[in-house]
Formats: sequence, structure tokens, C-alpha cells
Amino acid sequence: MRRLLPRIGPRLNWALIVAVAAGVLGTVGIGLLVCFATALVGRGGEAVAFGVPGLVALGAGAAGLWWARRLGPVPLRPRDGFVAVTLAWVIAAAAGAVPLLIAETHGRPLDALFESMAGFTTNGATLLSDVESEPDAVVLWRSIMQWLGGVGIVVLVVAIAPATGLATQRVFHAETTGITAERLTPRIAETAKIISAIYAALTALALVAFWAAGMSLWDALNHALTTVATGGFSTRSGSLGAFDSLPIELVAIVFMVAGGVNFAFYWRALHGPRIWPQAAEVRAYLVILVGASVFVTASLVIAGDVGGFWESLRAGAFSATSIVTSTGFVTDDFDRFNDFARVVLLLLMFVGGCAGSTAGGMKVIRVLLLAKTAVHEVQRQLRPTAVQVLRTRGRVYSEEIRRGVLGFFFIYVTVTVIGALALLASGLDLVSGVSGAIATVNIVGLAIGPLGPTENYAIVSDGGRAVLCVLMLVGRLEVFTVLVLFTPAFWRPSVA
Amino acid sequence: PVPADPGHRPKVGDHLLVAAARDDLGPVIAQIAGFTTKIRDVVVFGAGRVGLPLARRLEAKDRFSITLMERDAERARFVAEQLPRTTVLHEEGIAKDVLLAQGVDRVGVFAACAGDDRANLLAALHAKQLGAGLCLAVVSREEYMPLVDALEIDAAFSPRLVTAEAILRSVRGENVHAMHLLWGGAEILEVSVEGGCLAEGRTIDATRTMARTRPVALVRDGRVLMPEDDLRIRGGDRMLVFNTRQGVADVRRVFGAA
Repeated sequence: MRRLLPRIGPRLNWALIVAVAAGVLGTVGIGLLVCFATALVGRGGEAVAFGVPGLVALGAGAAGLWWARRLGPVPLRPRDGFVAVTLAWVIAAAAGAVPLLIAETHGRPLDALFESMAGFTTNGATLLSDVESEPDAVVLWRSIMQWLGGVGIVVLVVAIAPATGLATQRVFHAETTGITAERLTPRIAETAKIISAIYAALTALALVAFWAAGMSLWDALNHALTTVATGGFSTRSGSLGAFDSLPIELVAIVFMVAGGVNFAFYWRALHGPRIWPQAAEVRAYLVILVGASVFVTASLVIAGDVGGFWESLRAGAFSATSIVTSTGFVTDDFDRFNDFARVVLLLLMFVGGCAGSTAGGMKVIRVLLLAKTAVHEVQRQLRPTAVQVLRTRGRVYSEEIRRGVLGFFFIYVTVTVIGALALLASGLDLVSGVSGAIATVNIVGLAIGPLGPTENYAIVSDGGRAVLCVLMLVGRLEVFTVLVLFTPAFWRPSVA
Repeated sequence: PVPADPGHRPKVGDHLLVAAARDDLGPVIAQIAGFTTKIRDVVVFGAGRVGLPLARRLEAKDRFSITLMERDAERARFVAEQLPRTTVLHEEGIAKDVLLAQGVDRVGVFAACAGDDRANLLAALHAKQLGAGLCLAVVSREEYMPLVDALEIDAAFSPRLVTAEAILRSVRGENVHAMHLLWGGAEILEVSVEGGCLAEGRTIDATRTMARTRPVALVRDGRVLMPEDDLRIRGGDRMLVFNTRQGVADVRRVFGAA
């Protein structure tokens, strides 16, 4: 009988778990206290809602870190990474939901968790129908959650994963280390700091740019936080469309694209000349963005959904960018777009941004490798014995990576399908169920039909909301990270 | 090996040694052979120590379409990663139907560079029979050399000879810059003329009587000069000399420092 129960105690790396939880809580606590300060001076109050959880989180975080340090050096086994990463996001979402509950932004824990999860996974779906009426602190907290979620994923993928060999990131590891296969810097902390600095700098630039484009300082701050994180939360219920300003939309486009670039690329650009030849992924990313914009714009022009050429270009370019970077800002009512454009946008959700960025989706590098693999397979029909090498200019990809990408693709699609089925079972209509699953796994937040332009997921039943929370987590953490936790082998007492 | 006099008539089956500037080679060979062909497609059989560098250099020229056949899977993969513009086949390419399937019948050059002489000869033979343009084989054992002509393979290269050349070159002396060993005991040397040597100031034809060597051409300031009546040898020139083994000492005597 005893053998049937997994021995959880000694199997889990408690020191690591406590360290991770403490780190996350501490960071969340700081964010909450910032909102506490805002609550004191801003509209709507709710100082208690943010002050108390903030202090508790910060205190718990500090205590946890102190205790973890006392435990001594943390042995890191491969499986520990999966637990740690998943735990980080779960704890963040749970902690982030608390102030929302207290402030009665959401009446029920599930709803608060949904909003919080959509924040930290930089998804952008919301249950709020009237953002403008929410207290300033709440609005800021939503933005900060996305900003933290963004920097978290970028630091994880670019700084931590390559050094610790988190298995699912091996494709990124390959990308971020480039030809010479050297790490950015030998030390994780060093790299993490640099990446965070780049991220913060981009955010600051976005703030200035939005403000210069005509937003108020408050709006500019919030949108800078969510744009660089390619999250999609806005201070307005109508998203960016509510501003109806071309300069603002252009700024948003620039920084959405910026957020979708591999942050390791930024680092290398600062430290060395001429990395352009090596940046196959970034090149492909830009090509996809331009191509997508062209396609969508063309269909809008032909169908005349939005108006003349310039209106179509504005709508097409913005929506294509917003979708590909998995941000989810809206400027136009999608329901006005013709079906071709909407399905193209739905498919683009799967592509996503570059690896090592805040964007979601399968990531450009994987799509690029999949496309090349497909071409090779066709060529192989002609010459079965030819040795096909997967390569981009300046880099060769091993068979192992190729297999990994193919496997990932299959699992990714399967998860999306299962998610769609689950949503349909929860009572959603066909369009919402399917597009909702696609939009959530790819962390876009913005779907088609009823879940469309307002991104208001209020029509989703409780079961559906729970499913979506899981999908958000799975999608943000690149599927494998979470799925591995469900394999029996993970829990079996073995060497790894 | 026979030094050619003006009245000499080549017979079918003779190997001609032609000295010409590299840029003139095309027209010269066209005159002798009657035609030249531009080569586009190359098949290299074997991606080993000869095959891989060969494919690499051909690829660098950027005007060939190269197919490289390699029997070992791991080696094939390794080589494929290094040659982005070459088609690497994981294939045992000796059998005629396999060669035909890969288009060897239409290929300009078939170079058999595997590690095994017999495999090379067999593959080159099949390629020739299928209709490939130029069939070359790497043959390291001298005993197999007669097979090259018998099988009508166009040319053979011996890694051993190349090594011997390199060694002999350093043995011959400092002013020997290049050297190529020929069948039958002859050799071609590239010798630098030192100031104050016996040959200085003479015409090329005049040096022929001085030694049992046959100076063939002269390279001066990067230009190739053929023997003419008023061409005098100067210090600093490089002489292309056709030599039999007995003439080695003469070479040193005539062209070396006094």
C-alpha cells in the first residue's frame, strides 16, 4: 500500500521551493506596496487591500529567503527546474489575486485568480467590464502584474534556463548562445541583471514615447508596463482603440515589436557589432510581421470592412502586430473584419514572437525550423539518401533539436485541442471555445466573436474559467514544463 | 619519359606534359584534345581525408554543383554540417544502378576519393561506363596504377606520391619551390634562379646543353614566359624544369648559387 503513494517528502527539493516562493512573494510584495502608495494618493483608495497583503508578502518573502539561506547550498536536479518554475507562477497568481479580492474588484476567488493569472502570464484576458471605474491602485496592479510576468519569463529563458539546462528551453539555449555556444556571461545573476536592465530601459522609453504621443502620464505608465510585457491590459475598457490616436498606435506597434524580440539579441547587439547575420530568428520575425500586416491589410481593403486603404492599413498592421506579439491590444472591432482576416489572425497566434521574449505562441524559431523541416521532407522524396541538415545562416541545428521541435509542435496543438474541447464542454459556443483556447494557450488574450474585441471573458462559465487558468499557465511555461509534472516518472524515486 | 623535340609525333596512348600559363590552359588543351568542356556537376565519392577538402575547395569556387557520397552515416552528417551548398548522400556509391540514380551519367567530373583503392577504381570504372565526363581516382598503391589505363580511367592521384614529393622537395634544396613526380622516374621542378649562377644571362635553350635537364618555361614577376631567342635568364626568376633523376645534381649546379 505504501508503494502506491508517491513519497513526496524527500523527493521535493524543499530548499529550492522555499527559495523560489520567497523570491516571488518578495517581488510581489514590493509591487503591492507600490500600489499601496498609489492607493494613498490616487483615485479610489483601497490602501488596505494593497498595504496588508504587500507587507505580508514582503515579510514572508524576506523570512523565506533568510530561512532558505540557512538551509545551505541548494542542490539543483533537472526535475527541480520544472517544479520551481511552475510554482513561481502559481504562487504569483495566487498572491496577486488577494488584493483583488479584498478590494472587491472581483467577488469570487476564482475570478480574482483568473485576472491575476492573466496578469502574470501576460495574457491580457479580463473579467472586468468597466476598467475606468476601478481604483487607480487596482489598475496599476494589473499593469504591474503583467510587467513582472514579462520580466520573469525573459530572465528565466535568457538567464536561468541556459545555465541550468532546463530541458524544454534547449531550442532557446541554442538560439541565445549563438554560434560560439558560450553563455552570455558565466553567471546567472549577472545575466539576469543585464536582461532586467534592458527590459526596464525599454519600459522607460515606452513611457516617454506614449506620453509624447499624447497619453496622460498615468496612461503612459500603465501602457508602457503592459506593452513591453506584450500583455495587453489597458486603462480603458476599449483597449487602445479608445484613444483613437494614430501616434499612440504607432508607439504601441514599435514597443510591441520590441517586446517580441529575443532579449539575448538585445544584449549581444550592445556588446558586439554585426550580429545581424546571426539573427535568423529576428529576421524571420520581422518578415512575418510585415507579411502578416500585408495579408490582413489586403483582405481588409478588398472586403472594404474598415474603410479605404489607409484605414485598412492602420487596422491591419496594428491587429497583425498585436496578435503576432501575443499582446492583445485592440483598435478595431474584430467582428467587422472579414472571415479570411480573422482566421489569418487566429493562425498567427500560433506563431508568436521570438524565443527569449515576452511574447507567447510557439515562437518564431520553432516555426522557422518546422518550415525548414517540411521543405526538407519534401526534398527527401526526391533524394531519399540525401543528408538534410537543419540550418540557418551561421548555425546548424542537431537532430535532437529537430526532434524536440517536432514533438513540441504536436503536443502544443494537442493541448490546444484539448483546451478547446474542455471549453466547449463548459458551455461556450463553438467560435468562443475554439478561438478562446487558441488565444489563451498562445497568451494573446484576444479571441474572436463573443470573446473578441472587449476581451471580456464574463460569458465563460466557472468551469471554463478554471480551464482557462490552467491553459494560461501551460501556455506561458511552454507546455512541457507543466506537463512533465504529470508524468509518473517525475515522481518516481530515481537519480535525476 | 621522353623530352619532346619539335619533330616528335605523339602517338595514341601517350601522356603529354604541357607547360602553359594557367589562363592559357583552356585554349591549349582545346588545341591538343580538340575540345574543352565547362564543368558544372561534380560527384565526389567518399568524404574522407581527400574527399572532404576537395569538396570544400570546389564549394568555395561557387560555380559547381557538388554531390558528395559517403558510406558512413555519422561521417555523412558531420560533413553535411560543414558544407552548406553541397548535397551529401548517405550512400554506398559503387553499384551502377546507385550511380545512375544519382545522375552520374550526366556528370562532368567523377572523383573517387574513398580510402580503398579498389573501391575507387571500381566506382570510377562504373562512372566512366555510365558516361561521366572526367573520371578520377585516388590510388595509393603503385601496383594498381596499370589498372588506371586499362580501365580507361582518366587520371589517378596518389597520396603517397604527394607525400614523397613534399619530402623530396625539402631534400632537394632550398631553391626548389615545387615538385611533381611523374611515372617512370621523371619529375618536374620549380626552381628559383639564384644570382650569379651558371645559367644567368643565358637563353633557355642554351641551358639545355649545360645539363641533363630540360628547362621548359620561366616565371618572372608573376608572368609565365615561354622560351624565346632573346629571353635571358635572370637571378630571381623561377624555372620550370623537366628532369630525370640523374639530373638532380645538374639542377643544383646550373641554377644554384655559385
